[in-house]
Amino acid sequence: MVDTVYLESKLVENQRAASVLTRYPKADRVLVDHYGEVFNATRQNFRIQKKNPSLVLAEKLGKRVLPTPAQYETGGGAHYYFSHMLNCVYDCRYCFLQGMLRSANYLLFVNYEDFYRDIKAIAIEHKDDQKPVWFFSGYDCDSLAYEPVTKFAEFFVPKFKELSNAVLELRTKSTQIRSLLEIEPQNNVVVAYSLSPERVAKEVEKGAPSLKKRVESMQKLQRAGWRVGLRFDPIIWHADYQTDYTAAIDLVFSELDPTQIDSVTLGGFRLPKDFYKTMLRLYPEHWLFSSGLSESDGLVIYRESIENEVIEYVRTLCRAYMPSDSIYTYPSYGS
Amino acid sequence: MIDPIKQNTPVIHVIAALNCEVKCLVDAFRLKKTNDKPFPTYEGLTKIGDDKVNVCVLISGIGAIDMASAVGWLGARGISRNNIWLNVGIAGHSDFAVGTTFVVTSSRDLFSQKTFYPPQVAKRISESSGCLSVNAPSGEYPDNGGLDMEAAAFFRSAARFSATELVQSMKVVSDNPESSLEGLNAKVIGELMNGSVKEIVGFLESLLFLVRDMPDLPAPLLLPDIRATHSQKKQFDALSSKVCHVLNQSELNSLEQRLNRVSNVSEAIRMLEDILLKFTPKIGGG
Repeated sequence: MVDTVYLESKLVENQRAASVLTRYPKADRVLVDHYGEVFNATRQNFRIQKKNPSLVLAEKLGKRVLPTPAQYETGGGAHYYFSHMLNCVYDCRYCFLQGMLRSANYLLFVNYEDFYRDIKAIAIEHKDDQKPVWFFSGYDCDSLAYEPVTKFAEFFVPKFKELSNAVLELRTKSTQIRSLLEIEPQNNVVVAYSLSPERVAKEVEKGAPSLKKRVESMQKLQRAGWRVGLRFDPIIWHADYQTDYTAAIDLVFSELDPTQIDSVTLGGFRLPKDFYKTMLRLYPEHWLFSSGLSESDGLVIYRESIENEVIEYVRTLCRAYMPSDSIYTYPSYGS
Repeated sequence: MIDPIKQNTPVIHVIAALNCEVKCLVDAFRLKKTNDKPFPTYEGLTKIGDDKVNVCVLISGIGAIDMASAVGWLGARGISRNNIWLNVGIAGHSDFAVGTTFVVTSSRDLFSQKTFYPPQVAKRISESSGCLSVNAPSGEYPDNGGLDMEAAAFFRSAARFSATELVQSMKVVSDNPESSLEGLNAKVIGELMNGSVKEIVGFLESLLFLVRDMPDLPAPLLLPDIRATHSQKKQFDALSSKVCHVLNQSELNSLEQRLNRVSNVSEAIRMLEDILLKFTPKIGGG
């Protein structure tokens, strides 16, 4: 439920904005010249706003599709990401958005056509590459969690049919998969699920579906013919992490067909130092920000011994089911 | 004097231009007038919803300068980052009927042309509207909006002292295109405000809900009486804040005793670092 919608004045006649607004007939509407007046205003408190976020409808100008850091690859060629939305309906304590953004409001860019035009132009630039070019969605939001409102997948997934050398990765924790199940599966779309053991999810992924529900959704997608990916990133170190991750991986691979899993990626908890400081100010009482961390090269990350241990442990578990060349790790040290 | 309940327990600050705009709240909360100068101030401990909180009502005088001065004066006395600031008072409105209470969702200053959007997080039952702040009483109403003289200055000043989600303004319509300003006096204004007490208190309750689970700042560990540079003190405080959240009270008591025996600050810092180094979180148990 959204109580307040901020709308850029130039979008008053916009069809997609109007369609979103019909979902919230009782919400207050506040016109703004530019979304930044609301979203980037100083002295907002992310933690307080998360209790009842507003929706901001805006147009994304400037750079819409950006290259990912070199490390983040999942077997493709060139890698890019784009964000049709900033912020998420879930409240994951480790999420870097809490440290990066001033506002917890949902910022939805409604000019999907412009995003697609940029994606298509980049795909054309890479038309002679040996490997397909990957486009990640869901770095700054959950790709599917708000689907009934945003119709994001409904718009973008069919568009990728036109891009034979491109792959779209939808990063999600959501069970909102109806729009995918209603259409024919596409070989160049990967639905990548962020996964955590049940107890970890319950503790640090507030509002997100349980591991069991996520696995059920993946199973439905897999059976319908969609490519799925597994993302244990971040792996959360804690006293019982071995027991918890063993149980989680047993569950995942007992329900899914490993031969139909696109890739697995693994990473430790890591944040840019400034984001970490902001998040520590917001949640000083949370153990996540006081346990096992050290600083290195402007990042706050698990101490080397912890990060190596947790990634290696989970990688070994996954290797029982998946070939090594489908498992990608994102170590913070020595890369 | 405000009761020091806890360091980060919020104080509710209610600010209005005129005494007649807040008399109903002073009475409802049974506040006592203080001897503070230069702004008339009423304070007291009162129950709002489930919370017992300190409320401070202050009368700024009319206009932006008086409002900004009053907020600055009151803000300088605050210690919590989670204090609630509410501006109440009368306003004109282009559309709303006289007596309607509304929460200000955007506040534009006619002089600077700057607009402030107070984040709308607290639940409310009242109407909502934008509001234009002008320098003098006027019968020229903005399109679809309210008209007042203090809200813009209030927001701009109070946002320096609290998170903007906790800085809000609630207005009661005193005039509109069909019912002019003429005839407004303290008695009429008092009656208008009296009719909105329930909505104002309800809104304060919602604002309090927003800060209910904000973390208690633990009593900081005291650096032993030894020489330390400013940066060493900062380092000790940062570590101490983390350690306070990972140890239980008896472990903290024991740590304090050990800290009292250290001979230099580096040793104290190492002691805290060592605790964090050995800390392994338990899911469900902290």
